[in-house]
Amino acid sequence: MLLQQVVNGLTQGSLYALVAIGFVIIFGTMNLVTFAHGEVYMVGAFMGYFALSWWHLPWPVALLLGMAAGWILGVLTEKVAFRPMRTLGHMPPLLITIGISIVLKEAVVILLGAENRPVPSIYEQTIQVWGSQVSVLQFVILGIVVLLIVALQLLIQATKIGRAMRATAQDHEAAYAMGVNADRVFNIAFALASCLGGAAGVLVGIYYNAVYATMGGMAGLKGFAACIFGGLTSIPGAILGALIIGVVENLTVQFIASGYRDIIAFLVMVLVLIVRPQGLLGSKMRVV
Amino acid sequence: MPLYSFTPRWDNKRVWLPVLGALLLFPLVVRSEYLLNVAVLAGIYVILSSSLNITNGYTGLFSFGHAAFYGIGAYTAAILATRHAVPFWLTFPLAGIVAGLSGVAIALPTLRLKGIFLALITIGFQEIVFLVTLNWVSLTRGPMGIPAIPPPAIAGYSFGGNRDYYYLILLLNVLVLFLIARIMDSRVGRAFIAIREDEVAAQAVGIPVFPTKVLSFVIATAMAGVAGAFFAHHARFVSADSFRLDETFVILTMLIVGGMGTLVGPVIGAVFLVILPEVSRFLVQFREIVYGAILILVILFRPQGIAGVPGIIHSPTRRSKPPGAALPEAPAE
Amino acid sequence: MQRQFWILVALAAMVLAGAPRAWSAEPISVGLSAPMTGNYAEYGNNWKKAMDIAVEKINQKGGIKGRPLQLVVEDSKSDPKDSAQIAQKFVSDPRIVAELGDFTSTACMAAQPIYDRAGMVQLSPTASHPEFAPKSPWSFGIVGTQAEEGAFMAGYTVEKEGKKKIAVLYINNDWGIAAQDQYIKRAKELGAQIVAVENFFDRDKDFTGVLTKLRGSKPDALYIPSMYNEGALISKQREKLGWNDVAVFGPGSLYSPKLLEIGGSAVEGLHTSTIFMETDPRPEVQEFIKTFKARNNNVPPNMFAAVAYDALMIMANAIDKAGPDRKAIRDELAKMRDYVGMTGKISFTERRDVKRSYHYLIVQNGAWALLEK
Repeated sequence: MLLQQVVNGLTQGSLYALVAIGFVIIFGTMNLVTFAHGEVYMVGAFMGYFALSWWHLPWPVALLLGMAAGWILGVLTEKVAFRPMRTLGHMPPLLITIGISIVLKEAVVILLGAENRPVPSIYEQTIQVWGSQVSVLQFVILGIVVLLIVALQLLIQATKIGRAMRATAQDHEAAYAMGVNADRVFNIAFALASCLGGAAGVLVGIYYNAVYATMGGMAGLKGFAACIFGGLTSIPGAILGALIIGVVENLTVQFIASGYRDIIAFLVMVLVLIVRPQGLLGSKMRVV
Repeated sequence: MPLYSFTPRWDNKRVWLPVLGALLLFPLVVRSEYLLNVAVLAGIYVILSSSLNITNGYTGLFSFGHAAFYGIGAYTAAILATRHAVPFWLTFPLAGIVAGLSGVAIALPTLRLKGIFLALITIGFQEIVFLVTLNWVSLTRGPMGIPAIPPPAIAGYSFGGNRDYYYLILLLNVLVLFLIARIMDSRVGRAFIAIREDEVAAQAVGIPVFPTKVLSFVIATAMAGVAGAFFAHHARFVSADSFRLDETFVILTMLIVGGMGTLVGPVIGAVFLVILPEVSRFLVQFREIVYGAILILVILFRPQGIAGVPGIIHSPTRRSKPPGAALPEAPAE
Repeated sequence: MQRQFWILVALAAMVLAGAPRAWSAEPISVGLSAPMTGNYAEYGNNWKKAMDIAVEKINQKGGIKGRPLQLVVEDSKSDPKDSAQIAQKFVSDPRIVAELGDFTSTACMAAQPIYDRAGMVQLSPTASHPEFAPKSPWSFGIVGTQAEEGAFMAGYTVEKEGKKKIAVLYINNDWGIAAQDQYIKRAKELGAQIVAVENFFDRDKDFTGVLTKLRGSKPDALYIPSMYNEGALISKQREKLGWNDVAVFGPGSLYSPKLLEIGGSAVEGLHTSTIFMETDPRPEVQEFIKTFKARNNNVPPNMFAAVAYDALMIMANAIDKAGPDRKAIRDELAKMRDYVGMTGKISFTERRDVKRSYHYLIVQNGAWALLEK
């Protein structure tokens, strides 16, 4: 059973990781936080739901649609909320994203209702691994997440825009001096982060066979906790944080009680901020 | 623009006496239970946003955990009233004390952090309080909530309709606002503002920064706790669901729309946002979206809100680099 | 002059003839507190459809004592906060003589003190917590309590299906706690062993962790007191984990076409109970089913719709006998014996709930099927 719980945890953790990486990208390049990320994830999930339940498209198409929805939302959010407010500090963009998250969530409730929408299953088989039965779907999800992360890393390390993003993250003034168009970089960074969030949403819908309007809240917060654990600016740190949270959550269910599962992420967030605010792998930042 | 501006107008009897008079007469003129209920709700939120204003507005500490203390106060009152038959005039102050003490407990590890990190850690604590409340079934009955909270009773007279609650909340409002006005007019209040404006300078002139921040936090949370006690005796049922991050966002929206850093800002914000959706049946269903949209519009076009001190949310923390793209132009102030 | 007179007469005649029953009297209002939106929305909307059929039937026959019956509907989302607020609203409205609702025991119990204090009947079609109705003389429940249903399901699991090691996964609210309590009590009496008990909150969607944990104790039966939404999700995730060597049981809250729709192959073989059967040969039942299907995309009524219909009819019956007086209605309801509804015979015990007899139900080939007793 332990192995099964660990696999459960890794699968969930990988989904948190996609969300967490989004936060890292945004904070890393722009030094800003968005509260609307959970809702982007939710919109992606609903897009996946429509694709699978209403239009009966194959799941890779659903995934791409979710990612596209995320991308578009990201572009819009950056233009509306961040561009005008960027120079004014952390708070104004944060507050605007709070407003955006409320509007998105309530719009979905009004248009589509607050109930669960069922998502059809894919890959319902299981296979035997070291004496435990593991679901094929879990492996598929892990595989997709790995693929996305690898693609992201390629983008960041090997393309021009990726270089621009890294330069901006390191020192945006110097980057500007070198001819990097900050506006474009920020826009793409935000869109990329939201795209990953949308992907996570689609996968979560498939994994749990359900999407619902309020699913973004917890997911966003947990992704955030993972991001903080890793140090806010480190992608590997965020991934590690997310996986740890996922696994510990499931071990808590196994050995303590399932009601405490959600507390883990917040305990992690709070403890990290108290003990080592720069996180595990982040650079020493001035947070106090 | 002065850093705070309430003394001139509100000391003037000619201003607040007629307002108070109108408020006292209100339930005698308006008889609808529904409208009185709206008024009571507005009263609760005035206390909540005014108390949040102490930390977020006057002291510049961006706390996102206010609803947790509101909830702690509500549960304290609920437990004392239902299990130990404690009368309301005791549950109110006790709720305030418990909420205040929780405020101290949470302030100590968190107030060292600044800006976004303070915001994040208060969110973390907010959710932890919610989850603990949900799981600690022997104390709080967990997801089932605490029903059958008795209404306030004075000398054998039990509160009946909303008119009784209205007068009680009006009294609480007057007390709270008076208290805040007095505090802000004193050394302590000036210390709060000094910390908001320039923490290093405040330290340099001898203000004990950390203890003052904690004090600001405790006053705010204690007041939120009293509002919670009132809520418990009014709604007669408490459940952990009412005190989550969503609720903090509602209070924060009221504060920002009304304006931070002034006495009257949060009052205006609370009254406006409670009453606005009730203006039309149509709007009531869309209450949440209206709040979200108003928040966005206010931040984009008038960040100081209706009656707030400009620049509070804009002040970048002293030592972090200006984020975003503060390029050839000088860093914004 | 004469022509104008006859024109007026003609107009008056047209108005009187064409207008629907011109009620000269004010309607009798009954409040309905139910989940119209939110996670339990389908139950609430189902109720409303069934109750509307009942209201129309009553009004077509002339209403109650010549006055039309009117439902005043408030959306509680089955959220205890909202049901308590709605209760305040109903009791302070002098036109409302009684209340129907709410859906979950928790929502009912949150509103109960308010109805109790103000003196208004609270008749819940579906509250099955054994402590709900007895707690207040104004509270009534007609679906039967978990005391009976839990015992029935325990018998189904242990005696009929021969299962010996049982794991329980219940929804952590008043109802779920009572349901598992009663079930476990009886199962133990029958000699079964309870190997694991876990719970979940109603907002949870992820059951993989807790299912994995339950699987570890190797039960041969799994009992899930929850609503059909979670029941379906639990089943699907159980199937995804490859845990197929366990028989699944649950109370009648699972009985719904939606469980089949959402659960698909994962709910094949699921065992539950019912007090309402589509195959009931009585003509009034078939007529109800037909009318309901016509308004519901040809989907027949489930147990929830049937009890809602019965609840409204009983209420109307009581109001008819007692008049539109809150206390008189209560007294009349408490006296009610042997009312025969869609769901069978309804008699209120001194605890103001109803002892029900249940039938075995199972999912076979993607459809609900009754089993022999």
